[in-house]
Amino acid sequence: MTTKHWLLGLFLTALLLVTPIIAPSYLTFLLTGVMAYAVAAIGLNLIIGYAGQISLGHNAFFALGAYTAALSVAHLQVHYVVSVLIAAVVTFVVGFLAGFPAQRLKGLYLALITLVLAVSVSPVIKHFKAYTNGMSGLSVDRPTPPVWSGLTQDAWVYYVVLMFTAVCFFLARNFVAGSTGRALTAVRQAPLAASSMGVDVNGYKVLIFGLGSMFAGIGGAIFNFSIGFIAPDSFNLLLSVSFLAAIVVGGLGTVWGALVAGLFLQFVPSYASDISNALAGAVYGGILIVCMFFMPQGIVGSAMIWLRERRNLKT
Amino acid sequence: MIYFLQQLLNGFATGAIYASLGLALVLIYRTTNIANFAQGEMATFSAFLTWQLTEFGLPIGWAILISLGLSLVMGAVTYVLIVRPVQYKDEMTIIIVTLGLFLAYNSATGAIWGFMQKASPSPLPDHTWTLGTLRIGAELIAFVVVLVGISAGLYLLFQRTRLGMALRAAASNAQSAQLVGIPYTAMMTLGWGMAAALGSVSGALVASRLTLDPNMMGDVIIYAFAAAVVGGLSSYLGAVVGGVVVGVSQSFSTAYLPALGADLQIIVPLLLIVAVLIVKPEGLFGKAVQVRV
Amino acid sequence: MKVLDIKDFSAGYGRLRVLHGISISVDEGSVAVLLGANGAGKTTTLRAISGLIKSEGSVLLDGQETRGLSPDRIARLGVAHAAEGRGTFTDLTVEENLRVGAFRRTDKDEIATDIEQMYGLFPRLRERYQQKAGSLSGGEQQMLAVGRALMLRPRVLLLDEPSLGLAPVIINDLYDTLTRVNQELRTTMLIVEQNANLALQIADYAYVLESGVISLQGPAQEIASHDGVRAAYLGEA
Repeated sequence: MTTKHWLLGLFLTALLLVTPIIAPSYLTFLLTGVMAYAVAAIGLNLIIGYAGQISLGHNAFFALGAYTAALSVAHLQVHYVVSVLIAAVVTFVVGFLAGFPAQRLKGLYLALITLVLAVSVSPVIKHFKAYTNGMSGLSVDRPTPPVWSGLTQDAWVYYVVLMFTAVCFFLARNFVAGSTGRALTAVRQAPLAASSMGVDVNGYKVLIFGLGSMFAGIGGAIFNFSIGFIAPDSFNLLLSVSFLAAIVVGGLGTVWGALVAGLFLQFVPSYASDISNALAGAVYGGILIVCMFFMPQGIVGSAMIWLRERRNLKT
Repeated sequence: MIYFLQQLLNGFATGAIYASLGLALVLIYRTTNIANFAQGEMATFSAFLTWQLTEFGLPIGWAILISLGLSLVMGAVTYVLIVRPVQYKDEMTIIIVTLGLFLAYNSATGAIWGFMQKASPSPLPDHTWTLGTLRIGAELIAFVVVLVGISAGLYLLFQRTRLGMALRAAASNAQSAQLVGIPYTAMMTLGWGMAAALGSVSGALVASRLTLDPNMMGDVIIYAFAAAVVGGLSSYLGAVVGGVVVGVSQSFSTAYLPALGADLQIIVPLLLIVAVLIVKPEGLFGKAVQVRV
Repeated sequence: MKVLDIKDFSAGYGRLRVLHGISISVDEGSVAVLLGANGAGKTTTLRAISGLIKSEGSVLLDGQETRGLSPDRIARLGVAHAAEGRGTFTDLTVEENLRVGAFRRTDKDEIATDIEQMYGLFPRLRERYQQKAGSLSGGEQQMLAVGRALMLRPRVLLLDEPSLGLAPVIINDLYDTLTRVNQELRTTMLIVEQNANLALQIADYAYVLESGVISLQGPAQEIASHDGVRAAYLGEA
């Protein structure tokens, strides 16, 4: 990385760290939400963008993470950081197991099955209402800042979430860089060729499904902190499709695209319903269609292509 | 025993709905090799169109017929404007676009007619026949008749008409179809139009049963896909059988597994389909696709 | 009388140019053959003529310009292209394949007569008339492809490597039938072949395509006895 990149990185990091102190608490609160969504989006990006598996059921793992974290705090009295870790483990295991039948299915059928998963979330949550409180939703205590920090609750939650987000971004980046990343690209673009070269295609697909679901679970858990309240209606099919729309706009197969996705998920729905309640869906639908027509690489993807071409022209 | 038969019959009625939408899905898949996630929402739009026509004073029968024609146009236009430009791109792109259509149609319905439920006039008489203690409602008879009618119509179209043969040829081998003079794009446009028309019938069936509401086909599309998948997405017979299987299994699980509770029962037929796909990914009636390396 | 008159014809795939300004003509009732090695551009030529790929130049069918028209329009004007790989409608039955070949015709009785005629030319097809075309052998599918093309009552029949993948006995059979078709039905043909021996036997006129350019042309016998051709394509030193 060049000096320019280092400086840019430093500046952004400084900005991120300083935000809760200088920005109004409402903005801090929103940015926390952005990060939670971004983490989940990383997961979906891994599954779809890197492994080429179409999953429409991401909302299920997001919900699973949120409820697991909430319930472990409420019933097991664990520290909130631990609850995130528990959520991560649970969603990884479930995702990994789900990955086994998933890799057997041709793209379209996988999409269908994950669609089934997506619509099952609400019914399952409602069914176990003894634990989940069903339709009424579950209140969760937001992390309270320790006295020595002198921070507001919003600011503290922000930093906690920021920490998890940074860790997840690093994990994801390291996973897709290097030889694993190359194997992934091979798996996505030419599975037959990859397997004939000894890449365990199916193994990777299952692993990615597990990892991707884990990120969704972590995202759900930290989403918990940000809002303090979860209910089945927040985790319906529309959420799943929104995730899809968001990472498509952000850019499939790019880790930074997840950040754009997070921004998308936090801000677009409220703007869309500002325009018109009914048209929220139309906005998403329109975005999906328009993106596929004109910018199938998403914002980050297109930017990267543009940058690469500029670099090529210079040399 | 009677109870069992009653559940079976109820299942047939529901199954007819799923089968009719499933047939539309198969039609589009066979002509353009696309799984149209938006089919249910398009059908909802058609159902609202029908309602609107009755609001304008048309009798329900005419409203349904005219809506059929309008839906045909709607399907054709959707294909030409939105689907054609991306038709040959990768699977992901196509799936995303059809999801986009799903959202767009759902929103459009809500935007035009609002999200409040509306009562819709039913074309069916309110009669119930009894055979011993077995209750056979007019709805069941009507649904089955409609399903049989659609199936027969499709069969005759495809097997006995020149147009049907052209549609099959275009679906079988696009290049060869062009080389014998079949206007290939027109065939695909027609495929989408016909599927939308079929969808409007499905929408009419659902509307006659429930109140009209933009989200009414939200679950139905999943069951319709489940039905179509039994036939590997490319068998009409498979879609009909699949629809009946899903409807009946839903009926049975409601009747015999009350412990599951109302919420989880929805999942039973879906699990059935998941099981089918895992065991035989090409569907019970489908042909295994051989991938040429 | 030229049925097909192609002048200064170029075609390719995207940025790759395969044909560079070739000129070919086929007289009514005659059989012309296009020879060349793999990659010379023979298949591209036929695909460009029938409109499947973009091209430049002029293609006159009975004096009417067809270059630039859509493939189904060109087919309706009378160009029947039996493409490489047969292109049979595998989901349709044998008889339906023949019937769909006559898709644009409206003369029902004549169509029925023609189908009979095809069965006469290709007796094996009659035996299998209700079978799905996908279940036929390679040779049978090739015959079906030719039969389907003939159902168009074409002004010119384009055949792309009809012998490809077929056993020698079947190939001889096929070419005998093609000769009959030309003689009895007076069908004009443009055949693309790698198997030069056979093709030259049935042809009246021959063209040799090398790297997208016509390097040699002339009456079939002349080409057959040309030393260069014999060395390169007929396996004789």
